[in-house]
Amino acid sequence: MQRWVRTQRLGMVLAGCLLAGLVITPAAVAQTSASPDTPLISARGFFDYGYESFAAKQSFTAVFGQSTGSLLGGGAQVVFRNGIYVEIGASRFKKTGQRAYVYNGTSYGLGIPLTATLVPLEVTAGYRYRVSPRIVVYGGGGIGSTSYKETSQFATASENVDKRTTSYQVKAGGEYRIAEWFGVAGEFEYSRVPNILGTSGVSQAYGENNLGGTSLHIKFIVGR
Amino acid sequence: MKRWTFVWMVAALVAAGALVTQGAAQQAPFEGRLQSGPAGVSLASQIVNRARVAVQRVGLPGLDTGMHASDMGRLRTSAVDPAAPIIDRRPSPGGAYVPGRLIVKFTSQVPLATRTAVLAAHAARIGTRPPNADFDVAAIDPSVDPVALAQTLQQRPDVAYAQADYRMHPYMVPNDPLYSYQWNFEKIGMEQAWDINPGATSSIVVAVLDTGVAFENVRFQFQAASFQSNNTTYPALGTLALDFAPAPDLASANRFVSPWDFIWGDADPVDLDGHGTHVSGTLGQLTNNNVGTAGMAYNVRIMPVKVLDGNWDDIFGSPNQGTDSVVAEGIRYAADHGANVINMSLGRTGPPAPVIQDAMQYAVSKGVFIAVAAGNDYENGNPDEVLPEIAAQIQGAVAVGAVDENLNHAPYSSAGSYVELAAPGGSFDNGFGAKGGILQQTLDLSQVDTYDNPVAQFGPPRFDAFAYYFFTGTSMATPHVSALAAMLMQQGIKSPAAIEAAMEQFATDEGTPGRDDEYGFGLINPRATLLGLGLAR
Repeated sequence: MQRWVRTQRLGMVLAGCLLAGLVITPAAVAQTSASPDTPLISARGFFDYGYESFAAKQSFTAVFGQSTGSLLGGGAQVVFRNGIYVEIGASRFKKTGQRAYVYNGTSYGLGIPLTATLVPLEVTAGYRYRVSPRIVVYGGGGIGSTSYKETSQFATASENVDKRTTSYQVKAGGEYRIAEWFGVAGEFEYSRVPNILGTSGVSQAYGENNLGGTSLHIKFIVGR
Repeated sequence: MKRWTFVWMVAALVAAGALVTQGAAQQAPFEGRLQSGPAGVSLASQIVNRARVAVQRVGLPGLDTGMHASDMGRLRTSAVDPAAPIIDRRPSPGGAYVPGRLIVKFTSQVPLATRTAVLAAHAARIGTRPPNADFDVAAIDPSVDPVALAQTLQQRPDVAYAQADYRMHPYMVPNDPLYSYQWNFEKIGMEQAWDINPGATSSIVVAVLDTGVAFENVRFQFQAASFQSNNTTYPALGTLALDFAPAPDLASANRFVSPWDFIWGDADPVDLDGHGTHVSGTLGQLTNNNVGTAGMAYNVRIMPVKVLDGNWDDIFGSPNQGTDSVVAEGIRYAADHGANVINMSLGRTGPPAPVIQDAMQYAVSKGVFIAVAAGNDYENGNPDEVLPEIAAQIQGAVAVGAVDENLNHAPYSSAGSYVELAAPGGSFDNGFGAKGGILQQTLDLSQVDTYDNPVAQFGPPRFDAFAYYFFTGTSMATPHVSALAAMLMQQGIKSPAAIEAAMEQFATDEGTPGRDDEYGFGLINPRATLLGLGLAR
């Protein structure tokens, strides 16, 4: 039920952003650097490859041997002629490491497999600025709902983790239009995912409570 | 008088004698004392101090005489049926489920067509109901979370319950026929712990600093002089050629490493008492071998280091006794010869022992974890125990108190600020009877403690016959902690201080909430400790 409420809230945020875009669009048209053939609204889809440096560096290193990892995902964008855009995207990080024990800041791997799955679902609204006919830079921020699952060999159901929490993100990037219907974007993102780490486990031992981090993304965009 | 009460009186007498004879020494002599049951007789001065002679390496196997009826504190075993099967009837702790399956029980009035329709609405396909089942097992898309779907279905009034189909897995229940008497392992959840870590590996060496271990086939020639016990003079037995054998349920190929005997000064630390062999059994009795009892870290290698003299050692005139210097030497020897863990089921009260403190710090600095018995003097005024007090000051050394079968503080277990952890040491009191102790194989004491017999029946002992005995004491609790340390070390925690911290962090709090003087940080929790920490939990 709680999950449904959160999803509903997310939908409302998305709808709000879309509405804002639609309301702002007519007024802002004159101020954009859009080319005359830019449609009033365009919908685009994208595939996203991300590489994240997790904020909980010590915790991730203790469990996975490194504090970075890849995310794969995708999503959709609605871009208004006035430069406002709204994006909904989801990605997934999954990695298997080992359970550990931490003493005085030193971690000791215990050889028990642990698999963590992180799925951020993000809604972002922002502004795009066309620098040249082929290049657009953009920035935005938004809210998300991030699910985290942690399963370990030998762990009971109560010892595994299955949580969802509200997350926040800001991002900025540049898009290069290779063709009319295809573009590539490079993007930097900072995300904050509270309320999952820091109350138990290795993350508590290291005092780390942010499951987010900074990430670089490459997006392959289909659409105008 | 209870046998082990008698022991303390004897130990006190011996200690007093040693203090008199070595009164000029700056440090009070350590009169090594077993922190458990058997010990012995007071010794008269006519003991001939003659070194033993190994006359032959013999190859006869030890004689296993089974569970043994013996004197007070040991079990009479007529009711034992070693062939009785052990059936694990405990519930599953849960765990990973089988994807693509969902168990649903509808209320009894719901016809098949409705059940099928309800499940179809959730993209679940009802299968043939399993025989003897009053529930359905539905097939669902493997990518669908069955836990969430079960929660959804449970909202319906016509669904009695719905759940994911969790995998069961067997707890490692040893097939050793006397395992059912080893309540100590069940009480600390060893079956679940063995699933995680089945008894460590031979890469880990645990030194047992004790009365020796029955670990080899050898024949020694001794000179047994006359002695006195309880104002009775026992006659000299003259020259005796005695066979020793490895304990059948403890010894295997390459099991023992770097043995040394600081009592006799040679490389044959055989057990003339039974204490060290029993302690070694709790630590690492061969397990799943369809013989006798199980041990906790049953794959480790054992380093027998004899630093305590038993009664027969004294009767035979061993050149050394279990003193501070001998124990300190033993600790350093173990650390220098590759021990990862040292078990010290021994101790004393009295003045401090800086020589042992130095040795323990040296060992820990070399990466050796040390477990020390907290002492058995709670009912004797609960004096401060010297070795546990040292252990409490060293991160990487732990003082171990004892609990009984109900996990209550064992009545004898010394208490104080130095107690850091508790483990099963057993108790024969409070209605537990003989089975309230810790069962392991050791020497057949009916053939060892012949000095307990009337003089007319006093005769040479046998050290090649073995039986299973219940012992109680913090001596018995300590090897539980040593074994857990060995398993943790094998699993990846190499730092003794980290091992201590892990054991204390995951201990099950007993008694007064928080750390207390009887249980320390609590009863060891091997499963939780071995499982360690996840990223978020």
